[in-house]
Amino acid sequence: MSLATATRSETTKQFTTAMWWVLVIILVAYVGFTAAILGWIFAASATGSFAADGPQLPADGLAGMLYSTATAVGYVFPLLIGTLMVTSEFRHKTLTPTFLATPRRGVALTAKLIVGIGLGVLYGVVGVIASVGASAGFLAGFGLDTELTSSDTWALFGRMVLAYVLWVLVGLGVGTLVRSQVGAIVGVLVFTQFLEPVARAAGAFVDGLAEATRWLPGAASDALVGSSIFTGMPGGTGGAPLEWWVGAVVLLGYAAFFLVLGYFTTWRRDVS
Amino acid sequence: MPDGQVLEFSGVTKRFGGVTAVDRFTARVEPGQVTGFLGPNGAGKTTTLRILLGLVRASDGTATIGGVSYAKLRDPLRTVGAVLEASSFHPGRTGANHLKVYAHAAGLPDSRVDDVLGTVGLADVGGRKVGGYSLGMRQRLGLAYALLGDPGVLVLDEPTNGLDPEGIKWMRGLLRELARQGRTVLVSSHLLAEVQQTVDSLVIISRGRLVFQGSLGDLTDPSEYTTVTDSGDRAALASALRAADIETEVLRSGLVVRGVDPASVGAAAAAGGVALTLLQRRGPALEEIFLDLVNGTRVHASASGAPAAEAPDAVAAPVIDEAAAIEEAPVIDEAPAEEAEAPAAVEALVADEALAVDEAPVADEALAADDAEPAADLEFAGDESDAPDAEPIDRAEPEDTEPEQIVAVESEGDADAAEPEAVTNAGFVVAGTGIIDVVPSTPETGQAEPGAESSGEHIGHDAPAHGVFSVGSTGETTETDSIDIAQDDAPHDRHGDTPGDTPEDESGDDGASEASDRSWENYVKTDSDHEADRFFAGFTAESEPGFEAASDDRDADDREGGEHR
Repeated sequence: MSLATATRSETTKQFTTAMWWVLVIILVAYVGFTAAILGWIFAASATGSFAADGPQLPADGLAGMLYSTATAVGYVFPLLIGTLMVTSEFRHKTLTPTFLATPRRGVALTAKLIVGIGLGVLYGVVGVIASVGASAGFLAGFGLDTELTSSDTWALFGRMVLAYVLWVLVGLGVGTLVRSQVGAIVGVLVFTQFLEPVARAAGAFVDGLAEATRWLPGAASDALVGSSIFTGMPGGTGGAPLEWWVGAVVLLGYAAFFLVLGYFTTWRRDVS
Repeated sequence: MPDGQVLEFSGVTKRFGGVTAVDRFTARVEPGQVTGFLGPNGAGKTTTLRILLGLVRASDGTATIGGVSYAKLRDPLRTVGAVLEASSFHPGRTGANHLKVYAHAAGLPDSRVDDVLGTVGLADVGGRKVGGYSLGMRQRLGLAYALLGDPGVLVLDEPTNGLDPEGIKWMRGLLRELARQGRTVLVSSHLLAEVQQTVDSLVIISRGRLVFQGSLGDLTDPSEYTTVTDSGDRAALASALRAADIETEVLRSGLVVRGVDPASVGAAAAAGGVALTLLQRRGPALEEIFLDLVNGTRVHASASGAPAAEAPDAVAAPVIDEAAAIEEAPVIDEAPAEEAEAPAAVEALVADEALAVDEAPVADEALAADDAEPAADLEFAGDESDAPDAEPIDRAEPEDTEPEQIVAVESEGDADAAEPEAVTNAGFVVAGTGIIDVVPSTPETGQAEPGAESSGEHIGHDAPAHGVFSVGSTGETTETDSIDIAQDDAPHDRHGDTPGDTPEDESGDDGASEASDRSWENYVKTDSDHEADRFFAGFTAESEPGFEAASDDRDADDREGGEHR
């Protein structure tokens, strides 16, 4: 059937299981908690409330750094959503009815991409609200500028939502390529929570390594957003970050690479 | 309602690596009737259906629906409804939502969801998550999915798996009704008995090849039918029939008449003033023919490229058929060793068989056999190589046990050269009731189907027949003293390569034949199975571990149910 019906079907599919709202709750809790803790510490530190003689954070750019928690630490959520959109079909063998209803597999995958973009926007907005809501409160409470009236801040929000969308697409690519739900989840968590942070941290200390690590997806995402807890810290990790649009292109490149590879190796395979 | 379409398979071939799962499969499925797609497990049924549905890409050949490949269908779900497996559901989604997902994909209104849920009897549980469904409910939900688009073609892969007898009956009625409406209904099964009552025509596949295509009636030759009759006064009946020029053979269960229909037999008996206690038309069990087709021991003209090469001798003549069956039993080697120890006993026994086979037509001798105690029969069949056990038989008919009557079917070497009169004379009528009788053979009567028994009493009752083929095929069971086991094991010897096609196993003595009850566990996986295993290895790890087993159990239940019907 047409792409429109396939997309409608895919949308129904995503919202008829518990996954989407469970992930929303976890996303809000995780991002909100992180943003709140950091907001409190940073705001207190910037105003010297902790220790008058301690190191003081510059209040400049503090708001953006806190708001970007949603992407800096929360990007794993859109990545997981994209992955699960595909791997759950493999796991529950629902690819059979899916392909029976939509025999043209390219159409079926395209429908997933369209729905993935929608989910990326949804989760992006939820993530932004969670991080802004939690940290802006502390900024305001400590008398710091929340910068919510600045157009730059709203542009930041826009780039964060874009980052979420791109991460969902990367996740779809990873899911298509890996197929195994457990394998994909473990792989995603290990890479995003361990391998890449370590590599980027090492990049700060090893000459030349930063040149390479800034092309990693997480670093590209931070470059796209333009602010991150990792790059915004004084003496923060990484070399010169990429231009924001280069970051977007790099992230899109990862998504396209995985999707094309997955489509030709796995998606078109026999379903038995 | 959409019209049924012709399904056409043309030279469909699927290779998984070096293994050819489907080999130049060509068949045509017509609308307006239920077509059974039969074959043992691993014969390529599912692969063929998945090729038809565009889920698996054929290595060669085409499968079309109304002349169009599945991928090119304008409205797939409105054209073809398919039930492939009972586990294609997200456990966390409700039944109704599962259907809604695909109703949306096909552009169908949501109201169809409630319609089909009602049709399959799930209206009350549509709001429950599929994870809590029983296997039978999942099977019904799968059918609901197939019916969503009100398609003209229905393709069902083992749809009765997991259904209770009532559900199976319901499913049959539904399939018949759908076919009556002019739709094409293709339903696969590994059990002929299961679809026998439903289907109008059959497509049988074995080892990826078509071995039969035609109607259920085409499967059996009319000349394979016999009429069995009996009376309280058997001698009077025999003479009455003789008076009517009807030739009879006397067996334990009655007089067997070949080539004369029951009406004439009844008329002859009435003319002779004999009250009948039995008048029955018997044909070879369809299941037996099915097994022979699947084995390659029987070749039907409808099969293109049938695997004749596998048993070239077997098809030549029924005599060789018998010999081939013996050769197929790997355990027969055991027999000669014992035979050396007690050759006389074996000879005596075999002589007895020869007698039963050769001389059964003579009334009084058969009656003598009638007098033999059932126990003797059991021992006779179960322990044919034991000298002591031979005695009861001798007791039964000592005067007939002459050495020159020996039919040396005790080893395969001898079997090949077996006295033709013995084996040619030995044919078996396996009736649908599971009763086996020895009758003079016609060219069509192949070897008996040992698994056709459904109870031990039949076995005791018709011991002479068992004696013959137990020599051929149950050499390994000489250590047992139960005929049930011998009979249950026999199919494995002979059809060891296709365990799934011996469903009669399940109907045997459950306690004694534990191993044979689970014959599919001996099933050697094909490459396609391995491929599938690898494919789903990652996901099955988390699926309910008991589910597969439960499925198998239900499977067995189904088959038992089917067998006893």
